[in-house]
Amino acid sequence: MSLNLLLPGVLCLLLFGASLLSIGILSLRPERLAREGIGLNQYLRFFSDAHYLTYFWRSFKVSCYGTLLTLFLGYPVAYLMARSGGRVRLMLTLVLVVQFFTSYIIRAYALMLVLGNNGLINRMLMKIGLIDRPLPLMHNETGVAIGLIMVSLPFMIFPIYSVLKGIDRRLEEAAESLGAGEWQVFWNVTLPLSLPGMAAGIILVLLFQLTAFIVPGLLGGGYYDMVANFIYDQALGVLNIPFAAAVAMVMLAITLILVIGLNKLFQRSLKDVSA
Amino acid sequence: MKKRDLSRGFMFLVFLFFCTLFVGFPDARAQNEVIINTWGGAFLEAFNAVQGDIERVSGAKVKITTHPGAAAGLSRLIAQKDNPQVDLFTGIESTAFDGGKAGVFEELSPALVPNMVHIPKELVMPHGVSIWVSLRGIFYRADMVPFQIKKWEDLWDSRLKGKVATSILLDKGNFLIMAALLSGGSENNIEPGFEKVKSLKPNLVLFYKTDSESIKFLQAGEAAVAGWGILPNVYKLIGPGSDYKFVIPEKPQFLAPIPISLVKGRPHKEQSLKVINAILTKDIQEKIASHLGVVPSLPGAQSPEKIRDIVPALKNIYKVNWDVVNANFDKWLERWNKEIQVK
Amino acid sequence: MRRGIGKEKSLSRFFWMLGGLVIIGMFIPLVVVFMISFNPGNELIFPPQGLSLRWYFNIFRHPSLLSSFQFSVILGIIATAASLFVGLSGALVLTRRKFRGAETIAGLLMSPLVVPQVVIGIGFLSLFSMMRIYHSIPCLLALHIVLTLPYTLRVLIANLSRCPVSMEEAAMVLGAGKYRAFLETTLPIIKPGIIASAIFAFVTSFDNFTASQFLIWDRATLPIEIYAYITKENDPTVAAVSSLLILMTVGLVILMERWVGLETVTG
Repeated sequence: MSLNLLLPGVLCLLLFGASLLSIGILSLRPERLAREGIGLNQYLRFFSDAHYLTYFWRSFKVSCYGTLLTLFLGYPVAYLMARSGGRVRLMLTLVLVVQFFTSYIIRAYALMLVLGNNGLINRMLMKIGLIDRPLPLMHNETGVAIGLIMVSLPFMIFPIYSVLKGIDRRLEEAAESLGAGEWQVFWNVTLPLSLPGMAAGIILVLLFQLTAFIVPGLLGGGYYDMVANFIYDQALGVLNIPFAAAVAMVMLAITLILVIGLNKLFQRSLKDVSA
Repeated sequence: MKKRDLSRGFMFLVFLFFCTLFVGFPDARAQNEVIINTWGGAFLEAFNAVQGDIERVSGAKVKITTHPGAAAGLSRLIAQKDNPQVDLFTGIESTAFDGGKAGVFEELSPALVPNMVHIPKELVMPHGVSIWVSLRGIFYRADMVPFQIKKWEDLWDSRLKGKVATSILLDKGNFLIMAALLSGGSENNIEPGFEKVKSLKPNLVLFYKTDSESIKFLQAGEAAVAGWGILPNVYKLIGPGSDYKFVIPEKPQFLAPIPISLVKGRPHKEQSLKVINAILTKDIQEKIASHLGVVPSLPGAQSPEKIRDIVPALKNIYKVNWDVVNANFDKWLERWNKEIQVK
Repeated sequence: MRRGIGKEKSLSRFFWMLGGLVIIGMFIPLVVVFMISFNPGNELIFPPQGLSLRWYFNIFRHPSLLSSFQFSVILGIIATAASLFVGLSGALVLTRRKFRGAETIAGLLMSPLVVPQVVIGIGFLSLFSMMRIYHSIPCLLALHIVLTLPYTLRVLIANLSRCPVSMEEAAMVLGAGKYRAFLETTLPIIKPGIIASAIFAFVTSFDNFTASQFLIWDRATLPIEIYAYITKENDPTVAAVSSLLILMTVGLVILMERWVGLETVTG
């Protein structure tokens, strides 16, 4: 396989790298509105106050369990899609694809109308009399987590589905004929073979949730701002772009290490599986 | 052709394609237009409606482009400082001051814009002059609030427990300044403001970052009161028979004037100044105001009918010192996030 | 499921139950949006107080909503095509050629996902300002290709890693040329991956707001116009826009099913 094929990808990488370089340079500006000057004071400021770590802690915490939950909830749907007949698969594909085409902002508002204190769920539960005070499903970590999972599900389902679809059924049938039960076949044959899809889904969803900004802003009600919200407020609220850039660079460094690590981990397990 | 040549050729085409992305296109805009940069949506439509009038009165050709928000628009101007793409910029007060500090705006004066002499001094800044005023006040739902809200202090009423939403980001912390003023402080002495807002915490249910969000929260019933509301965004919802109410407390009054600024380094300064002058005439002021539900900055120009009953005599306008605010907002925001915006 | 009559069905039952709940959960916000669009009153509330089409008609009184939709679609198609091309070539090399640093490059190519949108937006703005490029189309195209590449790359890598080279090599041994071998052995297997990537890429481009807003000069995309609209107005027009988009997507998918059969598309 010719290495030339990597050229377009590398060009994109260079373009992106150049834009990151501009951010890096911006993060070195000492003053809020400055266009000249080199200094590390934005970074010093960041590392000198533990308060800023709150945002990082929230982002990583919610993304970790959020991604796992998304995996757990999304896998069955992908499985159903891959193993169903045409009609059902069409319906499921429709629901998923349509999610995407509903503007993200609108979907967030719709979720708010469902999860809020005055929202669909609470109103219904109170009407049946199951609860007498609204469940706090919004303006806190719970609301943000639910929102993130709902919005990132399609990103988990599609990669897993596309891999599940391509699995050779004869492998499963062979296992069955050897006497394995349904769960055993799934656990020992199907699941390992779908690992590349899971890997793709996990990484996509994890990164999506880490840098999420509209969902935490709207569903967190200001009480659960995550890293992207903080950066946005600094950049456009305070108009302190150098500081926002510095925080972004720190976030980039941490997350890049995480992604490269995850890639290596998945690569190794992929090698085991295909061996 | 050999397969190898084919793939090489293909790669070369790809390379060319990417190179074209780097080619700067010559500026296709006609060079003798005055370009006004403003918000999209209703604001774009308002300017489009008066474009013909502006051109007639000023004698200059005008083109209107949009930015997604004052801060994003100003960041763009700062990024293009050596090659700015717009002539006139409508933003908010804080961006007019920030832009002046960043050196992207020219100073304005009645010598340059004759009609400026009519504009009240509260609505004039060194690097911008207001072309309309978006009044701040309290926006609330009468069906969820057991009494009529009339003054800022009413927000602290115990009957509003868990019903009030507010914002620190809007107008860069003016809500905090209002609280400070109620307790004898100001933007120069913000401590009383923090104490006052801390005592508001039992009433607070959520925080919003844009005016649009506040209205959605009220419509959804998640909050009953938007403690820092803006009239032009809600004037279509209030009125006789509506549960939505907007009140502008007597004292202190916050104006949120919208300034227009002249960008430095553009070719046709005289024409741009003429455009600003044209916008400050009665007819155009009234047209823009009626499109947007705002108060014209030119005295003598009438406010649109729909809002006339709500707008009181503007006698207690508080003039914020923006240099102080811009210098300190960073710290206020951090303190607010640590002490107030936490459960 | 069809096979295994008499064998345990608990796995299928479990998956159906859980999967079904999830689908219902994803369905609900769509229904909410749909119903809001019919509210005769001026508010974005649910449930609607009646049935009215006025907000649908209102869309046509705001031509910027329509023209930005058109722009978003065209931009999305071009960006997706380019992104698929780059992603496929990259994925081919990364899965077939083992070289040092392959994982690092794969990780780096995911980096657009790692950086918050607002930062990418400002970064591209600085970059293009330095290069004196002040037109929406090249800026947005470059941005969208970079933003969608991680998706196409990741999904295609996942699919290709399930597709051993040996099949292509076998075909070549049997006399097929390099491209024919690829087209007829590998491509059909990764087709679901290509479709999935294309959908992701298109949607990412179509939906993108935060980063794109910095690069709008002369033409705006739909999310930006929607945002501009709701900055000032609070009526259900945007719900109507979303509902129309939903209907259009449903129509498209059903059409695809009728003409080419979903099988050929999803594999």
